Amino acid sequence: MYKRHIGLLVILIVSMIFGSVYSKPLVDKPVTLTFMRPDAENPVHSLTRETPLIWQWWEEATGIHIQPVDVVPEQDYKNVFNLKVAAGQVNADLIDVRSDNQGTQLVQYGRDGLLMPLNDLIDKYAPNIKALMKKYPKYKMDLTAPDGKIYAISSANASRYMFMTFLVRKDWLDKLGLKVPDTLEDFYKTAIAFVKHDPNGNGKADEIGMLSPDRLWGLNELACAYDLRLCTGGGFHIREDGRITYDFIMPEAKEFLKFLNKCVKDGAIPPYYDDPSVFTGAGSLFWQKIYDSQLGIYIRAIAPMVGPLNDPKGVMKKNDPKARWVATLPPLMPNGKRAKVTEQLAMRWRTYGITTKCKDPVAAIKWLDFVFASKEGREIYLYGKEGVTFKRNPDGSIERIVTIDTSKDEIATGPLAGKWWGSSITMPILSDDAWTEAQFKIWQTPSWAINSVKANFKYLVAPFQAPMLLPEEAKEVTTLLNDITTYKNEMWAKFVAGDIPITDENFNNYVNRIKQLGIDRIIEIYQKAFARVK
Amino acid sequence: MRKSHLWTLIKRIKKEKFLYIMVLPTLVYFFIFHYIPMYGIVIAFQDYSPAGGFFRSPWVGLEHFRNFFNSPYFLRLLRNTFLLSFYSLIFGFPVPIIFALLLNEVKNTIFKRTVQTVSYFPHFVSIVIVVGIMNIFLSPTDGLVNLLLQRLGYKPIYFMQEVRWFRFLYVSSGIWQNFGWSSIIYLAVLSGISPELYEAAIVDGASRFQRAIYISIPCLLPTIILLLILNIGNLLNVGFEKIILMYSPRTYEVADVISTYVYRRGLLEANFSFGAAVGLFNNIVNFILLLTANYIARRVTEYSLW
Repeated sequence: MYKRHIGLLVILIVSMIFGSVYSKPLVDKPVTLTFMRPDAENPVHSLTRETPLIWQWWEEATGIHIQPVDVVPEQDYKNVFNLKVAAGQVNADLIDVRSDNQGTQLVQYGRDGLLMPLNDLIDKYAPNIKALMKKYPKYKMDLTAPDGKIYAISSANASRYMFMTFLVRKDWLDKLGLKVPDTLEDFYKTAIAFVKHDPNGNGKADEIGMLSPDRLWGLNELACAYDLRLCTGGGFHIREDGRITYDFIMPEAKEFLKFLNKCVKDGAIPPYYDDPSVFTGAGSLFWQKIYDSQLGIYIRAIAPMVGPLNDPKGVMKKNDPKARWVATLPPLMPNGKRAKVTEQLAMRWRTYGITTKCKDPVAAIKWLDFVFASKEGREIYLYGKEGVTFKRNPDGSIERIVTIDTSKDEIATGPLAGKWWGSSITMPILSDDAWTEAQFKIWQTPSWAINSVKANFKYLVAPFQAPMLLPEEAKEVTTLLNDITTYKNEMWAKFVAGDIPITDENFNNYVNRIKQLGIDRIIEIYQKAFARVK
Repeated sequence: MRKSHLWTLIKRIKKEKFLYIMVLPTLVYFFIFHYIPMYGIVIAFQDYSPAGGFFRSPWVGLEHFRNFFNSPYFLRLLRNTFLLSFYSLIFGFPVPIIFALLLNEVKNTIFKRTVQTVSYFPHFVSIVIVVGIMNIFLSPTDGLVNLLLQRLGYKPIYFMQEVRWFRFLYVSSGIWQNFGWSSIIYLAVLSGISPELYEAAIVDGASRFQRAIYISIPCLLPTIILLLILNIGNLLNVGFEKIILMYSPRTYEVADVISTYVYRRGLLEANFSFGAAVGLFNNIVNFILLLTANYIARRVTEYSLW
């Protein structure tokens, strides 16, 4: 009698716990799916040792357990993945497919039967992704292979805040009586002024004008002032008349090279701008320079970076309470119009697919749908778990209960990372304006900083994103592009460093060589692909 | 006649059965790990796709070879590969020999052991760390070498960025890493030389230097030639790991070698057939070099591999 009561009590408690946790699981009974993906960026939180809290919370909400397999560090992932594919040893249910931005690998793996077409699955079981594709037709188009199938879901970005910009130390500008740089020439002059006039006031000439964590490639972002798109899109650019150009060989590129060369020569850009020893590794010298209040202009920063850099509890403010970072507007072009900055929607280089070997494709697509596009899934990604890390106020707003000391993780993983929601376990997530604004709230970002970012919204423009190519086309493009990129990178680096003087003759030789290597053929293939989509 | 040959062979095997049993694991190893995988060479003549595997991938003949020979970088890659290897050989090959000879003359055992251990150590350090050490020491902003140069009134040198430093750094760091380890084999030979030879030379009044020249080096010669032939057979094998860690677009001109090119085109773009074709080409050249070196060695000296 007594024993039976205890038994009942246990059942009652258990059902209460599970009843609340599994409020509406996506699957009838618990499912385990294997997931092949790179390890967390921060080795402290390696997936081999711990399951991210977010994954646990997702599991509680969905009833689907995700088991990472074949975990290797991010930088080795592509190699290991390629080799595993070649050996036919990819056995995971879900895989992180590292494609190039053309989606070459997606088409290839789809045709080879490694990836399962998702069209029907999305139609039947993924209401959130379906709604998303309806809302952003461009997103669907970007993910659709030439055979009409969708082989993977990619990270997506519909947040207007997610564009690459230039950040500058406002407090330094004020101190020296300068205004926010508005033209390329301003950038140059401001950088020189920073280097010369000791704005950090420590009596040492340790200031750096401009620098990009992406080294020389990142500095190319400034080329928007010549209406060149050298970073996003790999130098390809659709002009207003529908013509595609390769911007690295445009006549304006020569002017831009002269500008970079001048900056390097006069010290607006420090001489180690492209030295891998300065930038490699977590906690790189670049971030040290920022936190030590030595860097004045941060080239090619993701705009929401104004959040962590102005975070009153962040490392930056701790080291230099006066520091204030604002985003500039895109520089004015020589014709007096403002340059454009590029945004991004689907990112084909980071996509998640379901393999044909998957034991339970329905559960897999449901899980992707939940974490990727559903309101609850994204809430967990952003805030954590209700009652544990955040609480809901009566007016519906969300308040964090646990504040995480991000400063500890920051140096190792970069300011956008953090154990709870951060990039160390990057998942496909649709970010939109509200998402970024919520992050700003967490960082307590002052409104002047947010407004400096918002002022850029008028100048956003979609980046070059070619439709996916047919396998034969893709093969031709990669082969040609590989040689072109090798040559281009080499010459570009030498022009900027001054190893080769930027004369008309040298530049023309460089342009001719790239034409010889087949740039026109690549453009022709792209033009054809665009025509096919239309 | 043939039968008796076979008979003697069987008899010999029976007699020396333990020696043959000891050789067996090595033979098995070579068969499993070096001969069986050779069937993979077929993908160099196919357009390999993982779905088709070895049997259903379409055949393309020599297309990948043609592609490689027609690549705009073919000559540069060949030149860089050859030069890096060649410099490593001519500067790196004598160092362990000289080191072994010097060490052989050291009589204080504790000192000798210490030096030996210290010189072996870099061999066990991974390449990533070696390049990391180079980066730290040669850093233009806070590297030891550049701080010294600045103290002496020179401008900092961007060692890792400049074309003219690349080969020097590559070769010298390679020598630093491996000379101690490579000297083991010479030391072993030297310790095997009969002391009677030296004693006789001392009686004849030979100086230390003369003893090294007339006894140690001639005794080392077969080993030196053997290793030289083997090294020449590896002339076109320059590993990509170290170069990838060291190079940047500004130094491609001297740093881009066959294996890094294959890494970029074969592995990163999953173009495995192309990679296999270049690898095959590389090995054929190496094989020819090995045969040539062996032939010359047999003609010029009496020592050779076979």
